[in-house]
Parts: sequence; C-alpha cells; structure tokens
Amino acid sequence: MKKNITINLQGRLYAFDEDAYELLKRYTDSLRNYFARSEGGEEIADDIESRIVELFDEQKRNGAETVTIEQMESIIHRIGNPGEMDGATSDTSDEGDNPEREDAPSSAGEQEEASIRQKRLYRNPADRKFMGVLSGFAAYLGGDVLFYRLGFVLLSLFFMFADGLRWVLLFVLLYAVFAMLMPVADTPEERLRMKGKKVNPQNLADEVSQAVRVKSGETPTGCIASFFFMLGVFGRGCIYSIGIMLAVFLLCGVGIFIAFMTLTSEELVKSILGDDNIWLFISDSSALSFFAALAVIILLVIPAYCIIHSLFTNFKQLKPMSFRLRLSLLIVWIVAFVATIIAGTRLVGRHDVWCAKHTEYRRAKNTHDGIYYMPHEWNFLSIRGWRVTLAENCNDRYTAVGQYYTGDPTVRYIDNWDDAHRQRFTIRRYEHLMPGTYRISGCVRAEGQGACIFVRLGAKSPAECYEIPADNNMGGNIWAEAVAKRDSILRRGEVRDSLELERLSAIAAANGARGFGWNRITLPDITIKKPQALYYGITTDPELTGRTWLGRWFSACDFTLERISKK
Amino acid sequence: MDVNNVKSQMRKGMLEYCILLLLKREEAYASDIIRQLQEAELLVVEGTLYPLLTRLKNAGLLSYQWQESTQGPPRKYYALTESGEQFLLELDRAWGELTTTVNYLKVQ
Repeated sequence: MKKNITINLQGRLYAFDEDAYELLKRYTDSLRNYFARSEGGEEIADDIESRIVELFDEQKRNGAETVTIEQMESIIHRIGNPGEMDGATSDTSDEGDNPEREDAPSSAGEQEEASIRQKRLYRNPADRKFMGVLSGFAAYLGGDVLFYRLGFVLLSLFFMFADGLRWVLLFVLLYAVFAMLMPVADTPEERLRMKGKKVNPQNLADEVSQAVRVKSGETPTGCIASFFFMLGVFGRGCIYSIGIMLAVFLLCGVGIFIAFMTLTSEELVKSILGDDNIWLFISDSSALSFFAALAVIILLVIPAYCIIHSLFTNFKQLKPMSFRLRLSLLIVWIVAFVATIIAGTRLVGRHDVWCAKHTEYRRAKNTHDGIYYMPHEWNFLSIRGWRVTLAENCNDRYTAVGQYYTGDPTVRYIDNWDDAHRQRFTIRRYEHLMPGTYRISGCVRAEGQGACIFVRLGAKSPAECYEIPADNNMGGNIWAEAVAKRDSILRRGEVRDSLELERLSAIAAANGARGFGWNRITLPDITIKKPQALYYGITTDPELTGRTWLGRWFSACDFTLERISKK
Repeated sequence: MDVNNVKSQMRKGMLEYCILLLLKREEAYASDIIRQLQEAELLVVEGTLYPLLTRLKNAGLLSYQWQESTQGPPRKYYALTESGEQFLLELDRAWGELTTTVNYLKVQ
C-alpha cells in the first residue's frame, strides 16, 4: 500500500504515488537549479514542466489513474537529464565554468573521480540505530556499518573497564557532538552525495524508490533540533527507567504484602517485623486482611499501570487505552478506594484494641516483683545480680549509657533520675557468705547529697550507710587519680605499661578532660563470724539513709565484693 | 572513435536548422516539434529542445503566442520572425554548400 497525494499542476489535479511525486520534485528542482544561471532558464524549466504535464495527460488518457514511480522514471528517461539537454549548444554558449554543467562523464575513470570529489559526510537516517552518525561514517569511509557499531560499543566498554565510567560519557558526548554537527542526508540528492554517487535522474530515481523501501523514520535535521532531540531521548530514558524501577519496587512491595496478608502467620511476621508490628496481621477474620490487601494493591497498581502505559504511549510503543478500558479501570479503582477505606477503618479499629492489649501484655511480661523493667535493663541488672526493691517516680528507667568514666559511650551503668527530686530508689545485691573478712568497693557519683551505699548483714539488722560524694558530673577521685598517675608516668618519661597509660589517658580525657564525677568508694572491711546473708546496694530511700535526697540523679557501677581473709 | 558519437554530433549540429525548417512550414508548439523531430530520429532526449527554443527566441529568430488547447493548459505556438526567415535563408545556403561538398567528396 502506497500513500497517495494529489497535486495541482498548471491548474489541473494529478494523483501521485508519494515516491513518484518525490522524484518529480527532485527532478524539477534539479532542472531549475541547472538552468538557473543561463538566460531564460526559468522559462526553459517552465516549458519542460508543461511537457511533463502533457505526458501525464497522455497517460491519463491511456487509463492510468495515478502517476507511479515507474511512469515517472520513464518520463524522466524520455526528457533526459539537464546535462544531456544542453549538450547540443554547450560549446557555443557558456564557458562551462560551472562544474555542475559539465557533460555526463563518459568514462569509468572520470566517474570515479567525480564520486571521490562529491562524497560528503552526512548523518544517515535511512539506516540508523540512534541518529545515524555511525551509518554516515560507514558510508563515507566505506565498510559495513555493523563493524562501526561494534567498534563503538566495544571500544567504549573496553575503556570503561580499563579506566572508569567517564570514557562512556566521553563516547556518548562525542557521538552527540557529531550528531549535532553532521548534516542529515534527508533528500535523495544528499543520500547520493553521501554514498558518493553522481546526482543524475537515473540515480535519483533509484534512490527515491529505495528510500521508500527503507523507511527512514523521523530524525531532526538541525544542530539545535538534534541537541534537543537527544536531550528529549535522554530525559524520556530517565523517566522511563524511573517508572520501571517504581513499578518493580511497587510490585515487590505488593508481593511481600500479599504474602504476609494471606499467610497471616503470626510467628513468621513476628520474626521479620518484630513484636511491635504484629498488629497488622493479628486478625480474627483473615478474610478482612485479605480484602484490605487486595483493595490496597488495586489502589496502587491501577495508577502505576496507567503511568507506565502513558510513558510507553509517549514512546510510541503502545496505543492509547480505549475509552471503555479507561472507564472500567476508573470504576475498579473507585471500588478499591471505597473498599480500602472501609477495610482500613476496621483494621485501624482492630489495631487500637490490639495496641491496648499489647501494652498490657508487655507490661505484664516485663514486670518483676511489681516493678516494670525495659527488657534490656532487666537483662543488664539481673545478670549482674542487681535487684530493684524500691522504685517510686523513677520514669521506669534504672540504667543509662554515655557518661562512663572511661568515656566509652557504650558502657551501661546503674543510673536513676527524676527532675523533681522525688524518686525513692533502692537497688541491692545479695550474697550468702562464709566466715571471713570482706571488702566492698564500687564506683559512684551523685548530683546532690542524700544518696548512699548501704550494707546490711542479715535481713533484719539495721543498714550501715555511706554517702556518695556529690561531685555532680565533673571531676571525681577516679578522674583525679588517673590524671595524677598519667602525669607522673609522663614525667618519668619511661613507659613500662603502655596499656595502663592508655587506660589512664582515656579516663583523664573523659568529658572533655574534666571527668564525669565518678568516685571509687571502698567501704570499711566487714568481718563475718558465721555463715550469713549480706545485702549491699545503693539507695535514696530516706527510711534507710535517714537523709533527705537532694539530687536529681545518681549513678553506680563496678561493684565488687572481695574476701580478703578467712578470719 | 565511436560511430554513434559522431552521428549524434552531426544530428546536434543540424537540430537548429531543422527546427527553423519545421516552423517555416507551419507554426507549432513544442510537443509537435518533438514528435516530428523524433520521427526523423533527430532527437534523443526531449529536454534538448527546450533550451534551443528559448535561445532561438531570445535571439529574435522565433516568436510565440499562447493558444488555448482543448486538451489541457494553453500552449506556446512558435513561429519564425522576419529575421528568423533571413537566418533560415542563410542556413539554407550553407546547407546547400555542405551537401554539394559532401556529394562532391562522395563521387570522387
């Protein structure tokens, strides 16, 4: 099937095949160009055009409805190319200084010469992968375009692996520059020049009929147009890949969501999402979860599909959606939207109920002796044998990190605070001891007076209290000792134990070389005569200490109980 | 030396003379002239005629007038001018001399 066009020639209408018209136009243009410089050239061209029209009429009378490329070729053959026409008088009229007016070359040698002279570097849109640059080079330099393309890709890949991605950018940039600078072989004449063939009616006719066979497609011709075309392709490429990535992510997410929703396996979900997110999947009716998931998926997938579809449509790879399809997609989407809202509300309601239950459950699970611990704090304290026996106004927090005396921000220590000075807190260890002499020591600090280390023999006897120095969070004897020891080692100039020096330096450097206020306290030795229980710990309880707690916080760590003799 | 080449050179040389001869008989338009020249095998490609006609007209040897046609657009009908007739007489004389020379050479 050929495209057909109707042309008005000298007041009459003629139907042309597209390629035939193309050829006619080339031919008359070449005539006009040829005769343009001779006297009355315009008239000659007009007369010849009338003759062509006359021949069309003749063919019309013979029953040809449209002018075909074959008919056009035979007409051109009949009328001849401009060089032939002028041959009779060329030696008598012009001087022949116009190279285009030379007679058709009569020998092969001359033709060869002409072809070398006339070959030009064009972009070739008739055989293009992108803009036809490499194809143009292949036509200019000779050889199969396949090898140029292979060479281009392989060379850029080679340099990329050898020296990084910038080489690919360089190649792409080079290509873009050439694409912008090289003219496009758009017309049959230009294609002939690109191939180095002589521009004459016979070749033109061949070229025109060939061009119909190799449909060239659209490619911009100008330098700036090329630039924007490439920019556009690049931009579309980006949007394209983003769209595809989005789609992939969406589909993956949706897939996982479906899997979870439909499985509603509590154990699996717990292991992947953790305790706190399990509400999503705890359902008395898994049908509700399933429909909610389905609705959400449809809600997401339909717009995503539409976006991707429109991207592809812009890229001329898909037809736009039909109205019926659009309408049904819209209806399905609205249904999904409503379903999502309904199912979502019900799920949210369920979530609230579950959250309350969950809090209750968690509270119960982490409460020991009536005191609620964060799980990690419970682990920390219980492993070390510490037990909280009194906790009022403690914010449910019994330990902290960040101000350990070595400056190590990960070391955890006992810590308690209440900004209103109201907390009453007791934490203790219990040991059953054989007779002997024992020594307790530990590191402590406090913001204000009233926090004590206490020791008690047996459950009933009164406790002995030793107040923690209120150095706040600066200095402290641990820091002061470390500074002094470090300085003396440095003064001696001879380091026997570099590890020890390192440890001292770390302590001295803590809190911007000011210390965190930690003091190492060693209690008076305790002598036990018979096997007996020993309790010791830290407290702010006025009933135990007989003092009023004035600070907001205190800290403790590194408590040791040592048996220093068996008596 | 190609015989066809020489023949076409001879025809080309005669072309203007023949056109003037044709137009002396009766005025004609380009396609008539083409048909008659082709019958006489004087014309290879039709396009050759048009530059010649224009040159002859520009030299004042021919004139034309537009005439309506029943089969298409108006046509240019060419006719000899006075100076064209003079020119043709000169050419007749030259042709006579040529044929005499050629015949003389042939007989010898």
